[in-house]
This record gives sequence, structure tokens and C-alpha cells, in this order.
Amino acid sequence: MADTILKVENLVSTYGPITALKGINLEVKEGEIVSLLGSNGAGKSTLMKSILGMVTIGEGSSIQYNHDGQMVELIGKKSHQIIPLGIAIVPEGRGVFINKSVEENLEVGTFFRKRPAARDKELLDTVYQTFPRLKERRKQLAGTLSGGEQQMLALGRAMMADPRLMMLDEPSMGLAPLMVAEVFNVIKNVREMGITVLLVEQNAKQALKIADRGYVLTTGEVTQTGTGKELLADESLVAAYLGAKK
Amino acid sequence: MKKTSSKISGIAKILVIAAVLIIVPILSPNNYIQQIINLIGIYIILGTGINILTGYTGQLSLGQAAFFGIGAYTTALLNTRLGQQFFVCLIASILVTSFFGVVLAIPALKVKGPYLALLTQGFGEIVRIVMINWTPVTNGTAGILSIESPVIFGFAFDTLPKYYFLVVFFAILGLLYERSLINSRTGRAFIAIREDTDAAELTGINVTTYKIRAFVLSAVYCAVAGTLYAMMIQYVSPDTFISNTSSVILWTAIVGGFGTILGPIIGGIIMQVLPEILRFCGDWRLVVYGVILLIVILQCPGGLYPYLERFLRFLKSKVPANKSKSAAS
Repeated sequence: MADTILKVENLVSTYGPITALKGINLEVKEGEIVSLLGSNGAGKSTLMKSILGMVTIGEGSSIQYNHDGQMVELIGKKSHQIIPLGIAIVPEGRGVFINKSVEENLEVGTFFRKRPAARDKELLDTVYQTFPRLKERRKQLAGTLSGGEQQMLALGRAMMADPRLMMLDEPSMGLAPLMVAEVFNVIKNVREMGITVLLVEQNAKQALKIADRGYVLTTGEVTQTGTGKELLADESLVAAYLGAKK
Repeated sequence: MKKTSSKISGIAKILVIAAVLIIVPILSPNNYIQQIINLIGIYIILGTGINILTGYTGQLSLGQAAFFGIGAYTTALLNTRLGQQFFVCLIASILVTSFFGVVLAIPALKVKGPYLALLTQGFGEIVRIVMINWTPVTNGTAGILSIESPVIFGFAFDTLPKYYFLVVFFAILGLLYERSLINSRTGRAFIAIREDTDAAELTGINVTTYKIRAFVLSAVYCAVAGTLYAMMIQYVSPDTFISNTSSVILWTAIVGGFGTILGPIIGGIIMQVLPEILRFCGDWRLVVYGVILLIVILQCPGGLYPYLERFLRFLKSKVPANKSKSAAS
């Protein structure tokens, strides 16, 4: 049995008077792809922001992260303290620096390391191998890339951080179908590199296909959980997200 | 071969700039013009300070005059009341102004865009009103008179042409420091915050401390400018540190080119020289001044420096062509 890398217990997150998460329990094991499904406003992005210490969190909540074999409590830490522990995020809407070149964008991914690591060059090569198109355009401004390429760049930047856990927030949003397929392929590659993946998606079918396990969020609560296959087979879930079969 | 020639041309450039800087006070016909030239230097320092905060880090400030004023008043008070000399005044001004840099940065972390502009403008007003009303310390609207000119290592900077060299020294120091800062890790973090604060935070950049750093650094530039100003004019009053001054500081960086190292030099020259040249317009002077500035930002949205750079590159591309032609003939 693989070790737990992330364990969220009874997580309550609030934005002022609004409670966005009402006691979430979730576990991610080393080497897994875990998909987080739910409609708009279900609290998927809030969960990611909570893990990165960017949301107000209620009492009694716990977010444990396995850092070198020791469970570390993430609540109370800020994002710039959490990211160096080995958690990288591909934010919703990509968040690439449009006025910087592709290569500069990738370098930002290593920023939190005070000194450049010898591995940085190696990581850059890996990113360029995974995304040959980024190598071709490495001197180009990120703003001139297509939406799909920007998503690749955001993924590449997260890879540069050399993470153990990568969180992706709606990586397929606004992409053409071919690009969506490519993004999901890359996510599988990421896992093969030994990186655990926590994937937030609205594209439920695709997300469940590559996922080992999935969680379904509805208005701040986990309403369903199971392996990817189980959830895919669940008629009611498929109906809710993909429309009922005729 | 190529490297040595570029090194030589680099040295030649420095020598030419040094020669020009040394000739300026010799050529300046009177104290009136010399004072404008010295003010250009002081505004280059102020413009560089706001360039770090607004140009590189993206935090709009409409309250730089407050830092400038705090620096100037700290120097004025230490000099007139306690008889302290230049270096003590300078260091004290830097420390006091840095403290207020942190004080402004803390609420500024929570707001952005127009709210940040209002916050910084409000800060500027508060400082100005304190200057006016805290009479026992600041002497109110009358200001503080008879500040001594600095004597450094036995050399008295007691005339405007002599003072010029002091201003030039600090302006160059400020520009060189800015250049190394922007090329450093800190500079990269500043630019990342300007480009996309959320993305910067999500890549592990500590946005809070870098923003505070930017506020403090820009305050330090204002402190240096404030000390230089107080000891040059030898008089400070709240009239100097009004919101119009904040605007002029902001415009110095905008007209020159935000986020360019040399932009504030161009901005400093234009913002100080233009209103003097326009004196022939009489009552219409400030109207014409405003219209010219508007035209500049509409026509050159990135400021004048990028255009100047393009023009120089264009000239350069012409020069070697001429050389080879003359060699052929």
C-alpha cells in the first residue's frame, strides 16, 4: 500500500460570511491521480486554495502533507512556505506571465529555490522533451502562444518546481478537443515521472478515465467517492455531469 | 577581439558621459539654471524610486511627496535643532522614511488598483497636514529656515555648482543600484508581481515581503532626495510636499518610461525643463504643459525611453554602413 501524501480532514473554509467547504475529507496516496469533480461553485478551487493557505480555514480542520516521511500540518502556513515542500499548482486560467518569454516563465517555476539547483537544467530538458513546441518557442513571449500552448507552459512551469504533488485547476478549460486530449496525456506522463496528481475538472468523463480515484463535490461537501471506473459507471453521476443517456 | 572593442566603446561611453556631466556646471550661466539642473538630479532620484515601486512592482503610488517630505523634514530638524551634519541626517532620513514605507505598505498590501491610488494619496495628505499643524516640531506653514549646506570630508558644498556634483553622485548611485536590483532575484520577483500577482504567489513568491521591500526601497530613494533637497534649498515648508509634487514624481517615471532603468533621467529633464521653457506662454503655461504631457503619453504609451532607444539603434545601424562606404572609396 502506497503512503498517503495528502490527507484533508474535516476541512471548513470560509470567505467572510460564506462557508465554501463544509467539512471535507479527502486522501491522496503517493503516485495516484485523484480527480475532483463538481459543478461551478461546488468548492473545487477553494479546496486547492485551502491547501495552499490562501483561504480562511475554520477550527478543527486539518490538512496533513507527507514531507519526507513526516506528516506536516499545512494549515497556518502561507503559500510561499507550502510550495517549497513539494506542492506545485497549475492555476485556473493558466496564469502565465504574458510579457515574459517561454523560458523566463519556466524559470519562475524554480524561483522559490533560493539557489539554482543543479537539477534545474535537467528539469528544463525534461519539460522541453515533454513539450517540444515550448522548446521551439522558448524565446517567444508567452502572450503570443495559443491557449493550448499556454496551458502546456503552465504545466511545464509546475514541472520546473520538481514537485511531489501537482495540483491542476481546470487544465482543459477553454481548449479545443485535440488539445484537451493532449493535456490529459501529459497528466498521465506527469504521473509516470513519479508525481502525484490532484486534478480538478469539469470535464468529468476524461478526468475519471485517467484517474485512480475520484471525489464528487456538491456545494461544499463530498457527496460521492470511488475509483475512476466506479464513478464512470455510476449512471446518476454521468447524468448529472454529462446529461442523461437517451 | 569583439569583446575588447565593446569594452573600449563601453569605457569611451563612460568617459563621454563623465565629460558631459563635468562640463554642465561650467556651462550653466547662472544660479537659476544651475538650480533647475540640480532639481533634475533630485527628480531623477525620486523618479527612480517610484519606478521601482510602480514601474517594476506595479504598485501605483500617488503619495511619494510624503516620503520626500519626511526625508526633507528629518534632515531639516536634525540639522537646525541638533546641529547634525550631512551623513547623520541622510542615514536618519533613510531610517525614518523606511519606517513610514512599512507603515504605508501594510494597508497597501490589502488593496489594489484605484483603491491603492486613493490610499497612497490619502497618506500624502495626512503627512502634509501633520507638517502644517504639528507647529512645535515642524514650525507649521512657516517651514524650517536656515538649514546648513553640507560639508563632507572638509569640502563645503555651499554653492549650487558644487552641490551639483553631490546630486549627480547620488543620482548615479541610485541608478546603478536600481540596475543591479532589477537584474537580481528580487527584481525578478518584483516584475513577476507586476505581471500577475496571483500567478506569482502560486509559484511560491512571497508577495507580501517583496511588496513591502518595494515600498521601503522607493521610500529610501525619496529620503535621499529629501535630504539633498533640504540642504540645497536650505528651507523646507509644507508647500513643497503637496499632492502636485507626488504627481510630478509619478509623471517623471511615466514620461521617461515605466519599467526602464534610464526612463527617469528623460522624465526628470522634461518635467523640470518644460515648465521653465514654457514661461513665454504667460498665464497659459500650465495649460500648454499639461497638453504636451498628454500628447506624450498618448503618442508614446510606454514613455519616451523606448522610442529613444529605437532611434539610437536606428542611428547605429546607419553608422557602420557609412564607415564601410568610406573605406571602399
